[in-house]
Parts: sequence; structure tokens; C-alpha cells
Amino acid sequence: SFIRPSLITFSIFRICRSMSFVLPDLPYAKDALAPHISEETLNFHYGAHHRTYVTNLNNLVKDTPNQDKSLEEIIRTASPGPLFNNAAQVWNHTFYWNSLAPNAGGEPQGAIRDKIIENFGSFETFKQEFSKKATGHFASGWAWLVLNSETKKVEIVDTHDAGTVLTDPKYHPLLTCDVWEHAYYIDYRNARAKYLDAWWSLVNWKFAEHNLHAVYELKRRKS
Amino acid sequence: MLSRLGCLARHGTRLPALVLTRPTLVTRRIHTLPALPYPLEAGLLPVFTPKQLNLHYKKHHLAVVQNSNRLIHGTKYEHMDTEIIMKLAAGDASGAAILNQCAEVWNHDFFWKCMTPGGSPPSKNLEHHLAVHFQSFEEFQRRFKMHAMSLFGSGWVWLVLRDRQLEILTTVQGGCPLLHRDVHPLLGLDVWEHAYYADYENRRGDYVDNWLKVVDWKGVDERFNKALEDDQW
Repeated sequence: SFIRPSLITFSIFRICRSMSFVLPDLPYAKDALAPHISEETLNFHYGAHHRTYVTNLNNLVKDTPNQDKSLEEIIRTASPGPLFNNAAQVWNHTFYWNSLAPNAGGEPQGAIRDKIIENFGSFETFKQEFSKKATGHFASGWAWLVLNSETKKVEIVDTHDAGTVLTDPKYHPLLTCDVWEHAYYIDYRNARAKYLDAWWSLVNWKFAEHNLHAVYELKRRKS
Repeated sequence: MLSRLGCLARHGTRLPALVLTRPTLVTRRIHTLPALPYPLEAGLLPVFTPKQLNLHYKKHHLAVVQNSNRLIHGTKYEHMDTEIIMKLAAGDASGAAILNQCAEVWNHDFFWKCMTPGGSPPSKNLEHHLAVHFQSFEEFQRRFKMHAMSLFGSGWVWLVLRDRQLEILTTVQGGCPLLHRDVHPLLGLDVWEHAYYADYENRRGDYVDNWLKVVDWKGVDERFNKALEDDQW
């Protein structure tokens, strides 16, 4: 089955279909995002929460037809419920770790920058809108930067709980920010806006650029 | 109008609740942070350290109080009772944000009342009713915990009376038991991560185990008896 180019670098969750899903390695050391996101947070967020979703997913697919499906297939075909929730959270968190990087943050360059300015007017306007969406999201969920293949624009979308843009074929994910409380409670308590400041200091524009180019490549191959 | 109502009340006439609380007869309602039934600085051991209790009450609960007041200011909801705001906002396409905040105001107000230092045991009568619906008090606690553990995302777990049956109800996001038909909330547990993360990180099970030790069953009993009485009307 087709695996989107943007996801090849991290989406090989298992080597062959008879094996269980594995927790992918973090792209950096657990203390690499400090002081913005602490090692303690990574220990819990990656080591406990993300790991638990993988464990739960394996338990849920074991001895069912789902154990032969790819992660993305499961996400796209599962009905609302524990199977979808755990599968989507496995995927969302991996995308999140890749959306951050040490010595990153600041403003983007290249095609992603051009697209943001084209669709939002300025980087500052985009940043404010993203922060507002992420900070204002009620309860658990995610804020995403996506390319909308229908409008041809980069847009900001938020999803609830385990919701993922993967289930909407017009959205191509570029970046994500986890706004579940567990993502920021150790470091920022209830101050989600301060956590967003940290996210801006870590945002991995290279990953966003890579994802954008992958969509363009996909379109080029189809046309 | 007020004096006539007062006169009727003195003669013991039971008036419909809506008449007694007609918003135009009272000053503009705003939400406030209620006084806690126990000292904040002591925490509520073993479930909440002072740090956790402080965060939940002074940051999260206060935030929803402030948000709800800001959102209803200058709107048709401004003079209404919280329960009425929620019910109207639930049917209003643009009322989601108001519903979310007001639901959390009500939920948190209720939550603090469900606990007491050291807990208090259920009456024999309530234990009997819990046994009728859940096989035993212990089984009820086990099932309540199971609901709390399996609630995905942010929400609350409730013991409610509906149609004279005791039930465990879960609500998520901006949910509130008052939005469910004929439901009387008796007991509520906050399982949003902010309710326990400072003390327990991801160990929700430990949080629930400790919370069960501080439940004020005496209060649950009073609400239960009142609910049965209200349902007779």
C-alpha cells in the first residue's frame, strides 16, 4: 500500500506485517529540548503516554485482521473508539516529536515561508493565529499546520482528543502541536500560552519544508 | 411582585422554581469562585497535596469562572442562572464556548462539595441502593474506577440518579449531567489531566484510588434523598 513520502522517514513502525507496532525512537535525546520542554516531560510524554498508546494498540490488534494493516490504514478505517484513539495517538505523537527539534524554532525559510506569507500576509500574523487556535482549543487535542489541497493554501486546523488530519484527504499535515494537558503540565502547569512560546522556540521548519515538498512531489507525479 | 411572592411563600404555597428565580427580579448574576469546604493550604490528603489543590482551584476553576463571565457579558445569557445558560447554549450553534466554560464552572463547584477530609461513609440506605444497582458498594467503586480509567480525553465521571435508578454517567469536553434529561447528579470526579497531573503525572488509577478515600458520602446521601423527593413532583 502507498506510504506518503513525507512519512517514510518515521512511519516504518514495523518491519513486516507479522510484527507488532513499536515505539519509534525519539529524533533527539530526552534532554535535547530543554529548557523549553524538560527531560522530565519527555520521560512521561514519550516514555509513558506515547509508549502506552503503542502497547494498547498492539493489544487491540492482536489476533484480529487489524494486525495485518499499516498504522495509517487502521487510522483511516477504524470506527470511533479505542482502536482509532490509540492508533491515531501513536501517529500524532510521532508527527509531534518530528515537529520539534533542538536548535530550531524561529522563522522558516524557503518554500514554507513563501506559502505562509502568501496565505497569511505575514509570518507574525500566522504565528498569532496558530497560537490563538492552539491556546484556545478547549480540552484535549492538537493544532496543525496543513496544506489544503482543495484551496491550495496552508491553513491552521485543530482536532479534538485523538483526532488527526490524516482522516481528511484534503489535508496534508506539515506540523503539529499537542495541546493535551500532559504535553505541558509538568513544565507550564495551566499556562498553555507559555507552552506555545516554547513550541515556537523548537518548531522544526525543516520537517515542515520536507512535508510540503513531499506533497508537491506527489502532485507532480500524479499530473 | 417580590412582595407578593414573599407573601405567597409565607403562606407556604409552593411556587414553581422558575418563578422564584426569575432573572429580572435579581441582580445580574456573575460566576464567582466558591469558598472551599475545607482549608486550601492543607490540600486534601491523601488525594491532593496543597500544590495540586491550589493549582486546580486557583488556576483552573478561577479561569473558567473568569472566562464564563467574560463570554456572557453583554449577551442574552448575562442575567441567567448557570443551568439555564447551559441548556440554552447547548441548543445554540454559536453557544459552544459559553457552554464549555459554564459547564466547567458548574462541574467544579459540584466537585469540591463531593469531598471531605477523611471522607464520610455512606448510610445503610444508600449502601443498600448501591448494592441493588451495582451488586455491592465495592463493586460500584470498582466500576466507577473502570469508567474513570477508560475515559479518553478530558471529562468527568458521575454517579447520578435517573428514573429512580442509580447510574454511572461519563461526560466529555463541555459536558454536564444537568444537560441530560431527568438526571440528578449525586457524585462527580474530574478526570481532566489537570485534576491530577501535578501529583500523579499519568497515574490516573492512583488518583482515583485516593479520591475514593475522601468521598463525602453523607453529601451524596442528602442529594440522593432530595432527588427521590424531587422526582415525586
